[in-house]
Amino acid sequence: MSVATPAVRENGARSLRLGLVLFFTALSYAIFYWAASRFYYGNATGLLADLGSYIGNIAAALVDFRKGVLGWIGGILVALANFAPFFALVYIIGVGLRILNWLLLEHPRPASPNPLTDRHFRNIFFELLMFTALAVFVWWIVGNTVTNLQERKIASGFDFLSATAGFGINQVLFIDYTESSSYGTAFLVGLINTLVLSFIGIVLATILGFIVGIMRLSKNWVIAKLAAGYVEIFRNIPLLLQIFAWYNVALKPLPHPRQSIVLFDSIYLNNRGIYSPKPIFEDGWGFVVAAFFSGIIASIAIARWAKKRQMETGQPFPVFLTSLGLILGLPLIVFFLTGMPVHFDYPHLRGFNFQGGMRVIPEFTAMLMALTIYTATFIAEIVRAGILAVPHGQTEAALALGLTRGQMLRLVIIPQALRVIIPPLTSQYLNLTKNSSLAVAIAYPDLVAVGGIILNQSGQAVEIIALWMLVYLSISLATSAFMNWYNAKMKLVER
Amino acid sequence: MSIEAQEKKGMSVSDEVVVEMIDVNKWYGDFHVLRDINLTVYRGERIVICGPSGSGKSTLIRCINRLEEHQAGKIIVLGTELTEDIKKIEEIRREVGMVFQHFNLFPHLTVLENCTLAPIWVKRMPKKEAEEIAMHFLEKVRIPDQAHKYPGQLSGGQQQRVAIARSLCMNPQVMLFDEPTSALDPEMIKEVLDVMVDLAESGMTMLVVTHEMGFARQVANRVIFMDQGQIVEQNEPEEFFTNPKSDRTKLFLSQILH
Amino acid sequence: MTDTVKEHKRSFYRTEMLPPKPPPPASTGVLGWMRENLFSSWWHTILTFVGLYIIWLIVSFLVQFAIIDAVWSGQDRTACLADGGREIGACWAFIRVWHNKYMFGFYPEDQQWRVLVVYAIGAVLLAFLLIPRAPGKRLVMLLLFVIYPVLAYILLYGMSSLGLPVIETTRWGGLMLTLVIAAVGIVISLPLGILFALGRRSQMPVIRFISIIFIEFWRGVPLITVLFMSSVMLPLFLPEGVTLDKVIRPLVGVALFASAYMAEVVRGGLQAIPKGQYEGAQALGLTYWQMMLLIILPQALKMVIPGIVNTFIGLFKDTSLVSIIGLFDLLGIAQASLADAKWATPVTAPTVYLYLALVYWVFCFGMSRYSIFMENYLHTGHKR
Repeated sequence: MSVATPAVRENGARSLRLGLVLFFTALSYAIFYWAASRFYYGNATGLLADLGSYIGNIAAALVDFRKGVLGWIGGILVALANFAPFFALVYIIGVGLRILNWLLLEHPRPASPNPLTDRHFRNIFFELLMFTALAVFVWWIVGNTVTNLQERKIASGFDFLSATAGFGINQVLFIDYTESSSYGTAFLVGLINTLVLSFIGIVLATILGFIVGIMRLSKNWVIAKLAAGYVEIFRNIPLLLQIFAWYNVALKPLPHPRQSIVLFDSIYLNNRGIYSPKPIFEDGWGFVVAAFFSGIIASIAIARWAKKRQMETGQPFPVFLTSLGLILGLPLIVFFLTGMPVHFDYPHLRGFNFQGGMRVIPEFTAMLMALTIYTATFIAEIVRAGILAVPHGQTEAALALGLTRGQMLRLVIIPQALRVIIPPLTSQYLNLTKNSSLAVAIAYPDLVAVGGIILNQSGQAVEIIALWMLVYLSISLATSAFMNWYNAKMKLVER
Repeated sequence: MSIEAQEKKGMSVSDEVVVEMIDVNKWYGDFHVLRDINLTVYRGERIVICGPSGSGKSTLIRCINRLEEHQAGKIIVLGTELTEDIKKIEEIRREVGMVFQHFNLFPHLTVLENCTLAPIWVKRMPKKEAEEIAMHFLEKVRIPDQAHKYPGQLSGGQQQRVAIARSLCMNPQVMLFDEPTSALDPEMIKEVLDVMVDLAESGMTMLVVTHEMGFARQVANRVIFMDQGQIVEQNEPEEFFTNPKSDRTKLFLSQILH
Repeated sequence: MTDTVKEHKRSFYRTEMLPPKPPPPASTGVLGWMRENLFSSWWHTILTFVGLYIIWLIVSFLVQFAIIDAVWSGQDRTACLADGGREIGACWAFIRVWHNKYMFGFYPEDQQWRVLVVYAIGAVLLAFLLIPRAPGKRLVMLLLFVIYPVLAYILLYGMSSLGLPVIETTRWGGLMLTLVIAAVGIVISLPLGILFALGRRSQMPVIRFISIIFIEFWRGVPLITVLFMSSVMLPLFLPEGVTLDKVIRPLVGVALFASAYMAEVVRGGLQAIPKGQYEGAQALGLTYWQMMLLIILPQALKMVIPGIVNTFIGLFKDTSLVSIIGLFDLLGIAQASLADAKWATPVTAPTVYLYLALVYWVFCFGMSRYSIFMENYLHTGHKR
């Protein structure tokens, strides 16, 4: 009777585990293959045949650069929707990596002789099961979608983006767009409108939010309560309702263009929008712009120099006032020297509407008001919490050292409060950007509204929604990448 | 001059008044926290203030650099009366250093930056000079090697020594200590007290709120016992500890010295 | 030396303690409070008056519009039109006419008691769940998350065999639909969110990866695109011939969307549980699920109740988005009512929006107060 040494037992357990893992892998692949054939092909060999042609297609797409990058991305997305073997590939790679990981990292650990009670083995089995279930589910959905699309005779792919749009958009910025432009251009117009609205909204909401947040901390009871009331009211009313209210109550009932409300003799408010003089720049304007930018550059240089000088000699320098003078004064001087190279195109009434000038459509104004006022309530709370998060001892210590209140805020309180404020603030910016998609409710032509029109006209639901998701996810991912970077950089060093 | 005082060599007391409190009263809401406080501090004095919690001892020294406002009476620091005048308050705070129970170091700045912040911004000192002074005092408190670390990386005792160095960098005429060792583990208390003893020996005027009676015996020239917002008893340490006059003082000492 | 000269001044003791005196009159009471909080300097005095003036403007406008100038009854638009030179404020008459629709949509009036019964049961169960000291939390959880949804479905949708006529979901609407969507959202998203939160903290790479993708995907896209997706793409995902109810579709989207947010809230709670709790549970020999269900989750969930309530407030506000894809929730039916030509007046829209704002506000504000209450309650609970 031979007694097995621990090492021998361990070896036996290892090969048993490996065998079981391989067995279950094979089994899960069989399930996957069966489901794929059943749901997608209806026959047993379709998967392998498609896999071959798919690899061929990817190779062809990689070689074919004539379509440009957009076309190439489109090709990949088409492949995603059209060629089910893509998932087979992902599946095989995913499971393969997991097995490899197990073999390389987890295998050498001392294990239970019985694989069924081995923790790592159980984990791997469970993971295979989950992955297979998920893959089968996705496969099933993709299969259904393809079948349904074929049934409805909708061609998938992004070719429709080059088709003529045929609809007008009432706010086109930075690029040229007419009714005869393509769907792709229209989509781009929508994207620009989303970004413009979000950007201006973020700037205004930040300003308002910081003011209100600081007001809430005021020693003055009335001011603090006023700010608290503002926050509590507007935070607890759905944004969509606020958008409707601004649009239908504040902007729609404005008078017709003929009875416009006139401000400063040159700005006209009516139910078609806000019309203001449009500056037309002449030849010398470039110098003014150049003066402005050199003012900024000079200010930065002066700020650096002043800091260096203070560090060396202790003498402070009025950086803020000098910069203000440089940034505003320099362009102003150049402006007059070049003979005021700008004139204004005033809006004027022609027929029933205004011609010329600059027009801000009421949809934009309504969105901007609602987004700013709604988001500012959240920003105010973040700012308040951030400032309160700095312990009172910090204030006391700074004051006890003889710093002035301004220095205390600038050197001690704000740097610490910002660490607390910036991460949630960024996610509010993200929320504002996502919330700008509510524009569709009042037909401000943002990404979603324009996409919706294209969706209705072309019926390319999958592609439009994929594009939406792609845009918003990229914005989100870029933001969270920034946030991770910021948090890592700003983390207070602790033991 | 008592033998006690002679032993504390080099710690001379002049008759120049640095802090004077006349009939100072303060209330928190309806709670009468300081009652008719009269106290004169001369240059070079080392005063230890003790008393049960809630007796107003912290409030008393926090009134001296106006972290708390008094509502009646007069406080005159270095010849300047404390009023609402912000400029005067800032002037006084420049001359009066303070060390807190919870250190209150600035966590976003390194030890060195903590020490140079006020000299650079308040005293308009060149950075290099401020750093030299900071290193000098960090050496005095025996942690020059930690200068480029952040407060969060230091132990409590080290943090408190940095806080002392930070105050000293402003070259103050008076130092206030608000229970500087209460938040520390026992083994760290000594390292902070050692630094404070050195400081006392260098002739600094100090007001120390503490329960460290050993420290009081060693360096104080006057011990003040407070209860219910008033000064109950004050005396030279020898007399104070061996022959307390008031019953409250006796009770307090019996509890704290067991 | 100078030291001895001052000796007599420095030794001192008190034979009698000073009694406390009342503070100077200007620093306490109403006057003291006002001096401290309203008029501490000339700058604050100006601010106080500007603030009071702004408050006065808003309040007087609202009172004027909503009460003094308001029209309380009438049969059609003529009641709310300014003809006799009188300023016309809120047209409450319009709200009265439409009120039943705002509350129940097109649910038949003789069957509306069913909705009220569902409300009542829900309110009682919720009260038991939400009051921290009420007993039987586990039983109530089971009732609320398993039995109640089934019961509510039977009552609301109907079951002919029980004598309850079937009311198609197309007839559901108003506040009732808003509450149904919010309730379904929370009932599905809480367990799903817990699963994904556990998944995200799992040691199994595949599970963790799937959870992260799920959570970040839903959190990265706006709800409105999710709703479009669920109403346009969901039918494509299903096999031919299978159709989904028009109300169910957005529900799927809302539930998945809310799950991702809930997962992040729960994850926050899981992270806040000290490592010692895990170690303690493992040391007792508990399995993973025993540890989670008996030790970790009860503590973690309790800790994040405020976060859960806040997510729910967000969800409640977000239900208004279903009006964009053509459902008649409270906001949807109100928007539809504005097209009522019989009542077209300049004050109709402001009145309706004021009313809606009030309804939504009462719900959201109430919940946020509860969340703050729980936060304080838990905070003090932990201190002890």
